[in-house]
Amino acid sequence: MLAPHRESPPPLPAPRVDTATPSPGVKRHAVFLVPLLDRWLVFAPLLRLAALVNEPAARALRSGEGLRGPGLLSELVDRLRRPPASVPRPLDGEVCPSFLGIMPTRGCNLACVYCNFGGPSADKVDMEPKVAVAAVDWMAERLVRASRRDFQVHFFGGEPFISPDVVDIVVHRVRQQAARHDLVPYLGASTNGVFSESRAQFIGDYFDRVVLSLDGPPEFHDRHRPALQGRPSFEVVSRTAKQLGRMPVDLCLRACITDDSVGEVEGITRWMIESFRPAAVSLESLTPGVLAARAGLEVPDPYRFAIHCIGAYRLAARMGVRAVYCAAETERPRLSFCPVGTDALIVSPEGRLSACYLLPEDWRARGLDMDVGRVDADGRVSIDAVALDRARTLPLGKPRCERCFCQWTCAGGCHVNQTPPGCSDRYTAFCIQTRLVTACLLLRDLGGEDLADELLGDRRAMERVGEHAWDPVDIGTTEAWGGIEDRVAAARPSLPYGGASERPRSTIAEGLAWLG
Amino acid sequence: MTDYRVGRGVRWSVGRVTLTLADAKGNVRTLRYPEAAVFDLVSRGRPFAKVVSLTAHILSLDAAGAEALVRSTLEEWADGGFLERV
Amino acid sequence: MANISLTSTCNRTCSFCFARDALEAHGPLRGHMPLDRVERALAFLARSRVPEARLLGGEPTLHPDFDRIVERALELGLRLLVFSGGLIPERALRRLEAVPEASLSVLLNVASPATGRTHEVARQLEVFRRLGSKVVLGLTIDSPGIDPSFLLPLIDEHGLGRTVRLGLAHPVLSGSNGYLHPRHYAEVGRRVTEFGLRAKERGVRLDFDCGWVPCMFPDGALDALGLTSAEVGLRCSPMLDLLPDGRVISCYPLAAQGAEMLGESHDAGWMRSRFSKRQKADRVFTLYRDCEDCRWRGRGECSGGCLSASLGRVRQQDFTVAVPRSA
Repeated sequence: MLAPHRESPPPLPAPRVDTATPSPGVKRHAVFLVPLLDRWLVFAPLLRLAALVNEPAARALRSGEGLRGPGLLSELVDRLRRPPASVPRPLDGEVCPSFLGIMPTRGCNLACVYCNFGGPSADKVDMEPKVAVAAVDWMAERLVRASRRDFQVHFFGGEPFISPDVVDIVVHRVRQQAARHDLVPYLGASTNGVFSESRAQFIGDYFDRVVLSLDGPPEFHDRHRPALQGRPSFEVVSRTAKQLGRMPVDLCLRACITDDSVGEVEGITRWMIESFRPAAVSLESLTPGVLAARAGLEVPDPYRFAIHCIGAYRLAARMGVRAVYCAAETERPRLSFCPVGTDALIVSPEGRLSACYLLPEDWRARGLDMDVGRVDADGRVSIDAVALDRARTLPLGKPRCERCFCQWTCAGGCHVNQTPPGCSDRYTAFCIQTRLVTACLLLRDLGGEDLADELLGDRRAMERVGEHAWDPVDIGTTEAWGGIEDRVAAARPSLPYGGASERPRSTIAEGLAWLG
Repeated sequence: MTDYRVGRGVRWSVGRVTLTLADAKGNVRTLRYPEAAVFDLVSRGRPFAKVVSLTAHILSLDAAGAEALVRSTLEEWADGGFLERV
Repeated sequence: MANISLTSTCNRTCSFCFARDALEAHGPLRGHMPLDRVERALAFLARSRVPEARLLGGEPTLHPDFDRIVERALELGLRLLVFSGGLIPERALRRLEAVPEASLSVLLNVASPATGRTHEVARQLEVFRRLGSKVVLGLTIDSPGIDPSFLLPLIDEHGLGRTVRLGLAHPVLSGSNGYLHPRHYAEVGRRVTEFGLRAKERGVRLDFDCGWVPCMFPDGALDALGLTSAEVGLRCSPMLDLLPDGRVISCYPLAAQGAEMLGESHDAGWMRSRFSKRQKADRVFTLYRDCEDCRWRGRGECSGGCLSASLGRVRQQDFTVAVPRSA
């Protein structure tokens, strides 16, 4: 069964996938065919190519017959068979993290009703300063060895800014090491925004990007994210957002969308842009869980989410700001949805080095181990090569994704929550909305906004996209390319959120091909 | 006890790895590390003992070394007119 | 150059207005520049060998003696550049119609048909129709969602001047106006480049007001637009705005930094050097953290962006450090 959402007809049958023993070697595909109204979307993410074809052309692509000869179809096939310039592949060799995550504490000063990190009951132990310094120094040394200059450090929590000493030490140690080694420091943080104006000023001056959680106007935000003892937090978070919006830092406002707020997404987006002047607005749908259910919150219907998410994208684009739905990363192909597999390393308060910032008990519940090493208070950093390799290849083991055209763009979602056996082997609400949003963004890039409108206004057509059983189509690319696995490239891992500084250099689609 | 107060008209802005300081007379000073860290901590009102302990960690100094550094830096800024002795 | 602000009265309510604070802050004089002061301002231009009288406001055409001022400036052999919001009263419009094209440009800060009020758009269209090529369109960009594409059809349809003047909405030091945050400059640079290339194809050139920076443009864009980095990056300097009450300020956004009084012997060179001296220490402060490593700044091709916007990154706050006696 699909994850719960309203108004859905029975899902279309999907091929059963053996999820009992997920294999790291799940096959990846190069070209996909997705039904879009009365046409088909051809999508080759590694080539940054998309096209729309009619039914006869789609049949020809599937059967392999009639692909030769004069005409647009043959031209399309020729383009699809050109080997890509690069293919993302698992990292190997010495680790040089894409970014260093610092988790000064798991403690938090809010009691968000859906938080799976423990909130006020989480362990409030602060990271030892020597551990923080050792991690920073190790990262700097790695960058120098790899001849890289970008020194990216991102603070997570809990709420990182309730450990101000650790933050101050790390910020200045990073800057000092950057100055010493001619590196360029980039500081980021994910935060709830509940801190003083003085701290906000420091963040605004020293940080490059901040992801601030704000679920909307008070009627949503205070219901979802109350302070301790149930007190509202909107006023202080809003003050922080206004202050940071005026300052040099790139502010990304992240809203968690529920079934109650999904109909207001465009309004929330507009209000955020007008009120706070962010660089980006990030929309996430509520992750289903016991805590959320207990609070009476429900996951939004994925079809409604897709409709309003695209509405928000358009509105934000008109206002010159980025809207981001993290799973619909159409600008460059990737192997992983999140830091896992990108060599990003998160240092926990107790000195563990991990590939993931979720709670260890959540990994273990899925039979996963995301630890890859340790940072000791005496300054030693040790990496377990086997564990690192396991983390690097974990994103490959997503059997449900094999049939999905988003395998290179979404790359499977959270490896803990969206990977069997941690979830259904059939498309979840997350999958459906991701497929729809991605399809609409590709249509946008093809100049087909009107088609996207038509799709979003047709529930049956949306369901065909959302639940299409098998997207990959083999048009002989494997032979032409010599195998995807053989293509060697260093893919630049992306940060876990979109931001104004991550400006894409090329669009995914190269043109609109009308055939027949 | 020697107290210091920021000089009248002293302003600053944060660079990528530096801090630019300017006084009312137009004298400009670029603070690099370790000075930039000390300035940030004192300008945000951190108590002296905290400034010393954080500086010790930032620069991997022992407590005595950090305290000596902070004291001498404050004195130097006072000599340069960016701080006033109170 | 120097601008003469004839009046603080205005008939538009632009959210980005950077003149409002300067014109209202130092009351009691509000309203119109007295004619004797206009005469002294024109004499200042003559002493400074400035060939052009740049008239602004508020809305300069609302000055009750606008006709006489135009007449006087022309008598003195000055060319006129009138900065207008486009809602020009009939009498002033008739006067401007009569000025030869060689002696007049009206830089019209245009309301977008998409967002402007109907009566504003209608009046502006009337002004276009009657002034034609004397009108140069100007657009002040106060949000990253800017779409200047509506300007080109207006130019073609009404035979307007084939230049578009683009300005960024800068923050006034008091921070009370709507402005474009520097984090959005790159997005604006991208959109303006796209627009500029389309404009170029149609024989329309872009003119950039102050405060633009080379780094906001995509690689190769300045070349493609026929501009050098220095042309874009070095435009922030004392403009000299002569206010209705006789004060002279560096520019509206920096009005809070202070003013000089217009003396009988002062000329623009002297005024400019006074303000430059005052601002010398400020010029170490720049728009972005990364300016310290910028190649354009290093080569002297960029001054670091709008000074008023740059000062938004500057901190000034009291603090004390209580240092215990050493052991």
